[in-house]
Amino acid sequence: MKRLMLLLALGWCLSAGAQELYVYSEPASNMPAHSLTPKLTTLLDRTDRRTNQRYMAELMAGLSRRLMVHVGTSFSNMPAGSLRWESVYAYSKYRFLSNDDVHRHFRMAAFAEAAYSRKTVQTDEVNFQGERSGVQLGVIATQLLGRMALSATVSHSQALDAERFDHNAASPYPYQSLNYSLSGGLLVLPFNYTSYRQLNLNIYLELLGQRTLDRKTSYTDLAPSIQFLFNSNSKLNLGYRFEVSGNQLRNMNRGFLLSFEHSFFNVIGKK
Amino acid sequence: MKNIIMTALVLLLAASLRAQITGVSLKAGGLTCSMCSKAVWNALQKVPFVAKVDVDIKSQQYNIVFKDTAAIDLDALQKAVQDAGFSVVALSVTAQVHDLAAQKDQHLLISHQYFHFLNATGQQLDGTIHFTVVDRTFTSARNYKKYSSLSSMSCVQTGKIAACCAKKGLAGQTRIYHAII
Repeated sequence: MKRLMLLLALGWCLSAGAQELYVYSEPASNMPAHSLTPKLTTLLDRTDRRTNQRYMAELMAGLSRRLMVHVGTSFSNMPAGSLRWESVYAYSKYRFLSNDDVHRHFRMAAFAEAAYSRKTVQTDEVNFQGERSGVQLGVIATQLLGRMALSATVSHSQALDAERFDHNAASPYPYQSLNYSLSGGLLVLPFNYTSYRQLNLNIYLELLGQRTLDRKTSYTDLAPSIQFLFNSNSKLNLGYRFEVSGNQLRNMNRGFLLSFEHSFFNVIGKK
Repeated sequence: MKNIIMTALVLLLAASLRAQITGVSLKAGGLTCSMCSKAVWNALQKVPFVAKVDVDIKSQQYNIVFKDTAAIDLDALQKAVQDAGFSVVALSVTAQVHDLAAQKDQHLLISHQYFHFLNATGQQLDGTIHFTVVDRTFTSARNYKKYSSLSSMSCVQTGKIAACCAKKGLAGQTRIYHAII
């Protein structure tokens, strides 16, 4: 009976419909060309002293079927306690491989990110969404199989904060890292696609990790999340990310994520 | 003799003018989610000669209805799907023809576009016909490999008319769609 249930579940997973629109990472797929998506994200972590908060606003654009760019900015109350503007960042992704078939694909993309943060270095985490200035280069591979999608990302970061180059400061923090993630997504609803107006529900589980290379620190986080898609053009994400192992000093080693984005198709470039 | 040739040419022209594509059904690959499907649907709707697109999200089938007087361009449909981020894995065409002879390795004119039926056996086509385009960008790699071996003409690989046929009055860079009927 158990085996039958497992087989049925697997069969259902491999039938029509699947998602690779991860919450904490990017898939190898790109946004459609000529589309524009604004996105707002909130990260919250309630500690004894206060609630740590970060707010991010991003604009994502599909330039061609292979290339997309994001620009974003972040605000947080870490470590100051009061909400302040902290960083600006730009991200671009180039899809260089795409093997498509019905309800499946294998894709690979390369990405690059550059960030500027006004904050001084006070934690170990090489994070380009608010904490540090620097550049990141990486590769993503995604396999879509019916209702399931699996993705792996590997990247290298070089933090370029001023403290790194100030030899008088003797900064005790790391500036180089290897980052990786492993993500899985599953389409739960609808059971059968009949219209674009149906509510879509996807669940994800992501493993996100970092190992710093100059001073040896690391973290491994787990991030389950749930995603609602409305009218096939808007997404609401709810996630919880927490550290399962690590020795880094971090501003936020766990917390809730709430984000919302809406896609406008055929609004930029050649129509 | 001249009269016979003139009559033959007029008949040929008349036959080709009467050969019209009435509908296209396209299957998209590389996606399953409805958001991705909506991106494809939007892209197809935006193609100038498309009047309406009916979609079956589950099977990723897009049935396209054309505007009455517009010139149809199958490559433009494929490009729309590609720009949305996906691929065409199957494209079947429905056409109305009158006394069209499907000779092996012949280029037939339907709706101002040239078609080369790779599995033609000289059959006489009349009325409603259905055929599947099997050019590289319109089908899976597997299918393309299978069907492209049915003809040794170079247009199968390039999608453009080769020197062998160009001298029969057709331009050197004319697009030829290869299909299975």
